[in-house]
Amino acid sequence: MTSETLIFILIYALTLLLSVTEMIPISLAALVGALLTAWFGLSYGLFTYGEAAGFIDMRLIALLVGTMIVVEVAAKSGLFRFLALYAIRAAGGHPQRLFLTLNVTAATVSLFLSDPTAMLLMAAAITTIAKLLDYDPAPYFISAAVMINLGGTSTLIGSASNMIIGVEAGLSFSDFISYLFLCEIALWVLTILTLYFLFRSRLGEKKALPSYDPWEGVENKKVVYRSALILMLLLVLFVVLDRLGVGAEAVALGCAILALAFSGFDPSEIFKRLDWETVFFIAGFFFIVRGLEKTGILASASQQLFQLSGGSQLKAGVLTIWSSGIVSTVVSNIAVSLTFIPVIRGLQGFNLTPIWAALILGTNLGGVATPLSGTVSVMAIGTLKREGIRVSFVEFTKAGAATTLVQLSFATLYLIMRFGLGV
Amino acid sequence: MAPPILGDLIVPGVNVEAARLTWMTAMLIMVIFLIRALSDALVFADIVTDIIVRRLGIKEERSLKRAARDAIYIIIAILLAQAALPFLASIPNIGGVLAAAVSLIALGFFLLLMYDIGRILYRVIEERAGKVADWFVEVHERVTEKKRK
Repeated sequence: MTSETLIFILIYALTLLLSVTEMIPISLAALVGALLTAWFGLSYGLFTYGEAAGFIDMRLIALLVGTMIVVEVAAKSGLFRFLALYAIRAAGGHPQRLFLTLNVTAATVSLFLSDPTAMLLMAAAITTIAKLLDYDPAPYFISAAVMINLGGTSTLIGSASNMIIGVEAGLSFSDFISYLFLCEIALWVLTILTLYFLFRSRLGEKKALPSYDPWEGVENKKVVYRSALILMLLLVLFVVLDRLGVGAEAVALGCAILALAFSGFDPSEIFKRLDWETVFFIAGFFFIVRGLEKTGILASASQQLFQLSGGSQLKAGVLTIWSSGIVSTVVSNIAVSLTFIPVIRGLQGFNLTPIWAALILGTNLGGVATPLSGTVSVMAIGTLKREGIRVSFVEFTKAGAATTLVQLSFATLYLIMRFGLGV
Repeated sequence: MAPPILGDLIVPGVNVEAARLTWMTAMLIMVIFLIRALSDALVFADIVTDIIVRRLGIKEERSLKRAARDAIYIIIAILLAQAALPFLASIPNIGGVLAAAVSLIALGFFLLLMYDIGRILYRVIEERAGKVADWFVEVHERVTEKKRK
């Protein structure tokens, strides 16, 4: 290994360490890493200024920002809050039914919302319901965090890491659905069963739920309908994308403009609410990984992965899902996906589709194994703490690690059967 | 070197030359003092490390998070030195000296922070080993208690 390569590995490690220890905001950590990459890359002559200018994939950034705007408009209109309250009312005061409804709602809203936003929404709903019915909110919170992490695994816009893999691997919305939708539904069932098994004694007793109107918090019903319509249009256009001859980013930006135009909201208000932290983290980390790629270390990692798998598609798939899943329990799944993409792209002589599917599953499923695995778990524990309920590291990890293990094991079996690996 | 008065004297009972025995004793005394000096130096290193680590804004006492922060500062020191060296070296007359000074300062940081990481890992392992030992004792006591009953 040359000293130049070592410097780029150190920059990568520094960014990860800064993000994991939260010494500075993650976006700043990635931008500092990008600046260092640019400095050393240009001074070592590893890449030119022109090459560096094209390091960040603007299609991905456009897809992210466009989707965020559509979803933010829908969230501000009260659509997701209405859906959550409606679902809870439908469950009544039956603890088992409520547990099921909350988990399904959590996973459903996270199909569209970013995980932290979905957690905020569910936290508000769970806190209210738990107080009304005098239930212990901890099992509901932990379960919601697990389900929010799981929700959206099979959609292009389900998580930032999915968008990254989709754009970089050239997978369309329909590809995601066709490869992973069945797996996600099965994972929902399995995860809810596992969570129910873990928490069944703590769910509380049956009580009458006070009546309320799910429309209560909604200021303008028309805006809710319009937002729902545009969200559906976004999904439909994603599905028929191949026939339109345009990229997913064009559809996302087009729908974002429609959402802004027809919602009546002040665009500057919506722009302020976007998750710029994630956008800048992705941009910065993208740059770092591209710099690292130029040193040739990721190509040799591909070679190692190839040798380790012995040329077997099955072993490569299993290695990818488990290694990305385990690393995602500690490191942001965005960072994991950005790092794995060039490694997988460098694999020669493989059908890459199952390997991309393995990466999507691994990066999505490893996010809540411990309280420190991701934003959702940190937020769930933080909200519980504010409510005066302490959830220990061990208590959360029991549920998080158990569900992650079940999910990764099932996902591995699914990959083997769906893509006929090892046959 | 033994005093000449000893000559070829053999110490009775142990059958060893007095000169050799004197030399061995002197070496033992030197080693003892060396160890004491080293342990004093470690106390000094502890104090210096604590001062520097606090100056860097690392407030955690003995956690793995502190070790991670130490690692961050090690990487920053290496990267900054690496970035600055080509420019410093190109300064006429004093460039070489400046580059050497920056390298030495970075090395000093590296060693101090590595020492801090070692110290933290040692304490963490010591703590965990203590807990495991306590657990073993507890299990042993429970088993003995059951057997007595």
